Amino acid sequence: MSTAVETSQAHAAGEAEIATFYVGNQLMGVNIQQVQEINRHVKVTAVPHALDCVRGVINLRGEVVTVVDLRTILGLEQTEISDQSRNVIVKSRDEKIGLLVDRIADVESIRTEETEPPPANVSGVDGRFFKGIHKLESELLVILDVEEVLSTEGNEP
Amino acid sequence: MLQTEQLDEMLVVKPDGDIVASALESFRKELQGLIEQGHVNLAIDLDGVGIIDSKGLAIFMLCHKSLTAKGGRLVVLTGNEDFKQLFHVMRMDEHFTVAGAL
Amino acid sequence: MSLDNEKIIEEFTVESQEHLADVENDLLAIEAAGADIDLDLVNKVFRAVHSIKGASGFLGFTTIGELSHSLENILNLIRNKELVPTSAIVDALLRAADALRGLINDIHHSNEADVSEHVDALKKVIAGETSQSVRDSLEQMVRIGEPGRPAFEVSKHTLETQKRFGNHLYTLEFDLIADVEDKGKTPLNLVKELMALGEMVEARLDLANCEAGLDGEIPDTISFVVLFGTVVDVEMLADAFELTPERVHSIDIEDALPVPAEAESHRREETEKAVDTPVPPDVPAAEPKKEVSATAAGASPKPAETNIRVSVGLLDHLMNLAGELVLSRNQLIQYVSSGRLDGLESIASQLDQITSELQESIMQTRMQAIGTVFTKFPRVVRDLSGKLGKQCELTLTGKEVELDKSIIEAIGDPLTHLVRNSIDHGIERPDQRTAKGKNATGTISLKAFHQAGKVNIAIQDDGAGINGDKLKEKAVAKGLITSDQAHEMSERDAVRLIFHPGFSMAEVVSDVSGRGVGMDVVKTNIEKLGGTVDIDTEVGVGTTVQIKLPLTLAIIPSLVVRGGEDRFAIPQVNISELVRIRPNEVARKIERVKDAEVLRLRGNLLPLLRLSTAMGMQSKYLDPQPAELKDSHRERIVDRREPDDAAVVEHEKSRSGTPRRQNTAAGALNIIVVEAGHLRYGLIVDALHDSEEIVVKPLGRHMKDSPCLAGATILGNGNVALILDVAGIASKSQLSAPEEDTARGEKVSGESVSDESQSVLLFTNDPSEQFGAPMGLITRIERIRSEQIDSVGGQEVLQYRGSTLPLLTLESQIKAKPRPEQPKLYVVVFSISGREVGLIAPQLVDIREIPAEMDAVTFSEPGVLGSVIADGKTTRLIDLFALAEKAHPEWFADRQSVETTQGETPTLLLVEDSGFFRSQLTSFMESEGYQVVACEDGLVAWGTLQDPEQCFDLVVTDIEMPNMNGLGLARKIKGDPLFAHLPIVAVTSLASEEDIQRGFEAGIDDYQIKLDREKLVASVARHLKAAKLKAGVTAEQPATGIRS
Repeated sequence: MSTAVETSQAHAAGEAEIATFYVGNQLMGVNIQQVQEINRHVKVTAVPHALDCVRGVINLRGEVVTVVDLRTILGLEQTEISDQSRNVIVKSRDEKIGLLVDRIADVESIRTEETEPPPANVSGVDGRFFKGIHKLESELLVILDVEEVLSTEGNEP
Repeated sequence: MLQTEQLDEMLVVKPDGDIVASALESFRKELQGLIEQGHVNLAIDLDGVGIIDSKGLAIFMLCHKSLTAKGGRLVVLTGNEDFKQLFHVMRMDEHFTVAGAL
Repeated sequence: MSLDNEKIIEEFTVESQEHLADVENDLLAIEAAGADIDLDLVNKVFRAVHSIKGASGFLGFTTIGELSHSLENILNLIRNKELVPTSAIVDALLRAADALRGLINDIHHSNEADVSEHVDALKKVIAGETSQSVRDSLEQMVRIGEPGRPAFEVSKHTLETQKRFGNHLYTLEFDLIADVEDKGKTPLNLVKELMALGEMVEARLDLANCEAGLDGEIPDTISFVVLFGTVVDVEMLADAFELTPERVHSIDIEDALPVPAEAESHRREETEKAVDTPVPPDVPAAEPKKEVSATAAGASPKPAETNIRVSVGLLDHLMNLAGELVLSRNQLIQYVSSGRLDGLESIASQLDQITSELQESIMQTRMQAIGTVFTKFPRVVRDLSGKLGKQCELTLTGKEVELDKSIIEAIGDPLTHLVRNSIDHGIERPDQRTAKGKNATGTISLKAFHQAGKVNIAIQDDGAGINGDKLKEKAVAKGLITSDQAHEMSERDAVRLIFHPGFSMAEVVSDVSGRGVGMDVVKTNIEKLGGTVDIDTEVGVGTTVQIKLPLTLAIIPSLVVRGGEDRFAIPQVNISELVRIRPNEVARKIERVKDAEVLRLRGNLLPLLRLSTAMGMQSKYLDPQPAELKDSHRERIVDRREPDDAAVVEHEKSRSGTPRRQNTAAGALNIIVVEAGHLRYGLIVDALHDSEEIVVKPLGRHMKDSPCLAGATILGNGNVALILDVAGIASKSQLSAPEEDTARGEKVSGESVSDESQSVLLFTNDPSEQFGAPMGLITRIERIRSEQIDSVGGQEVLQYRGSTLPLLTLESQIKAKPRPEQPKLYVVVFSISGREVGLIAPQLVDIREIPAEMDAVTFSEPGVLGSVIADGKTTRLIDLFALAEKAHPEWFADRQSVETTQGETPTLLLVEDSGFFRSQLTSFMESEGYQVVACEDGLVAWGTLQDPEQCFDLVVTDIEMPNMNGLGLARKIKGDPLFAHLPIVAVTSLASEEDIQRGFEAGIDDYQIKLDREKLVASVARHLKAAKLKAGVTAEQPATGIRS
């Protein structure tokens, strides 16, 4: 069932809306401008001989959309799919790709000047996948660099 | 008044309006007049004519009859394709000549 | 009465265009048939023109009416077999048809056009070609009319013509005063109206009341009777002219009475008129008008094409979807208004699916067959060939291939240019061709086909080909490239120069294909569509231009199959046939060649691949009861278990109580014979589903380079199915084209007699575990009673023929279940280091040829070489040597150390193409203390030898290898002074006396069995030693040549 994520109006420059989700225990997020929608992780059709991170493809209203496992890309341990798992469908270079995440969290409004550059390593994940780090009240929010995450360079199937 | 012009044995008659019911009487009278004057070979030039209505059409037949009765003939002169077609369809060109020029 | 309705005009235009679309090709076909007139075809064209004429009348398009009328006349004569369609006549018809098309394309100006040229030409045709019978019927007069009513006399021919035109005949009685004048109309209006609806075959103005002439009264009724031919029915007619029914009479043409021969002059008049009639006397006005030039057949003078044809089936489907959408929406509204949330999910998913399908179907409405583009080419070829004095024959293939409308529209011009090029520059003149020994008529073929998600269009001609050198010269002359660049350029690139902007082959830009529209524009336009163009040419032979359009909107027919749990689509174009093999035939029909399974199909061997394996998935079969997918344990196709498969047998039992052997669906094999280029193989799938037309969708960037997949599609049930790339699967599975195999000269037969298999003794320890031991190492097999086994100092031995045979028990050396207690056992005796050892093998199974390739990973442990599947059972191959070594390390303590002349570790060059043997031999030799460099082939080995960094002491080589076999290598080695000193030991599976003799002649020093480790090692050691001695001798040789 799809919950269309509504893009709220652009605030004054300096603010951004981040759609956040959990991958493992780490809260991560993507700028809402890049998020097409968020779906439940329903049946995926496996693609033989694809890159490791590819879980498969789904039918998104007539389009064949790739779903990749964020955990695999980020180098984290695999885990079971639960019914909390979600596909975050993002737009990248004219293609829609789904990011499989463990649990959806809230949309956070953040001020861009409060975002710090990411360290070289966050919870065991290479910092290159992140655009920045943001301190929320209770935890740390890591903002993903979607292009880097979805990059296929240097990957062997 | 009808404009007329003698061309060999034909008298060319040029009506300058529509040959329609309203103008018919005067047209008829003038034609009659010409015939009485002895002009039995008439060429009616339709150059200045816009519309010919049904009764107007009849005039041509009447005229033709009158002329042939007196041993003459009627010629209708027109460059207008529509008129040519009209006379042809009506098979009137089987009775008198319809031509572009004399 | 004129229907000046824009919409109706538009419909007329579209319809007429459709009629005319086929007319051209039909006329060409009629021409081709010549005297053998195809009546159906002529009638078809006739009807097309007739409808255009009829409708044009309604709408007041008089010029169109006139022209179609003229066309009609001729077609009528042809269909009455009164006229043979010669080329001259068809030419006139074609030109007239072109003009007609031009008129329709510019319909609002059509009345101003001048078609007299065509009308005259057509008239001439009739006049020149009318046959006598026609003249006769023109002479014969018949009377039309009801008794008491005014009658007409017309020629028989006229009547017959009316009949053939499909017109009804009526007499219409008008009173020019009452029906015209009093209605505010003029007679001219009436005439025009009449002409619009049909033909005035005859007319009569009753001038009875004009007798008095001008002196009489102007009549108040003027009777005008028309013999009218029209397709309009009587009611409409009466209505149109506001005539009361009694003044409209239907005339039955059969009732027309012949008129006795009289009125000669009248007859003659009729004859003359008939030649002209029934052309309506609509002579174009004298004012200057637009010349309607025949639109050059090649140009695409399409007016804004805003219409499309859609199959009724598709529309019905769309209607159904709309209906379903409405239902779902209603449901949703209901739920929402009643505040229900529980069923929302299912409604949402329903809506999701319906919307997807709707979207899909709407996209499909845009699909058109490429035939619509192809259809104009016969004409293009005909006209251009004629113009240039060439003879060309055109074949069209793949007219049904569908493309998106926008692509269809865009591809026409580039294709036209290419075809014209072929005729202009490609095909030579007939005399030139015959001089070259070619057929005087050149062939041009236009082919459209699908290949892995792309639409290919190939334009091929058997003309002069493109001369790369000439192109280079030209390019240099034009300053497009430097002469150095030209020099460096490959032939292929030279030919591609043709795509360079500013390049034209003809010295004078021919007005046919030149005019600045060059190949570069073609290339640009195709690239704009996302496609590619390439040229293949051979001077004197011909040229092929290949266009590939990566149309993700391509719809292709495909077969949906199941592999594992998922469905896959195989493009129909790749499918040659479907083969189904019953379970009881599987063993017989499936053969083995080398290590591949093949199907013998009509005498040829077809390599087989299992889809699920190729996709790296577990094969599944559908157990009918309960219906679920179960893993198939058929590892090998020829699996003795089927149809004894447990689940199947149980199923049978439960139904009937007694086990029955039956050909269940689960046991049969579904093989799809697929083709891609020269490759042909059989794909074994788990199940067949339907044939479906699928829309090809691209795979995302993460899977773009996947060789096995050509794209994806969404099936009717909303699931994604991957589209297979048949060629890619083959290459990934390393299936080679049959030619390659035969080139290798392999013996292809049912038995596998090759290096890559070995004879293995299969036996079990615990009955559930199967093992194998290489026969080559086994000396003999003994059958003993278990009491004969003694235990001496913890060791099991056999008192046997006066000596003690040490025994090995599997379970004490490797991970194996213990052997059962049984009275009789077998002992497998082999020889190690001069000693005999026996391996206890409780139960012998068989001796088999087993392929050498084995799984050396799963069961890897010392003593186990690896595992294979034999008889459907996992079988571990025992390393007898290692087993013995493990059990009695003391036996091997005094192994001779190996040394080279320099006291270093000797390096062996191992040449062996089988991966398995290569690793086995390497490990043998390395454990002996040698250094081993392994190569997979003679050629590679030769190259390695040359490497100055490497220094070898001995060569161990296989005989049968692909690029250079062992004998070839030996000859090379011995023939080269640098390497002639190297000892060469050949390892082989079997060798006859002749083979061995040949080997020695080639330079082989010794032959050994591959897996006879002992003997091999001994041989290597022996030869190394000999070489050492020899080297020592020569090293000591003083420069003066005195031998010591």
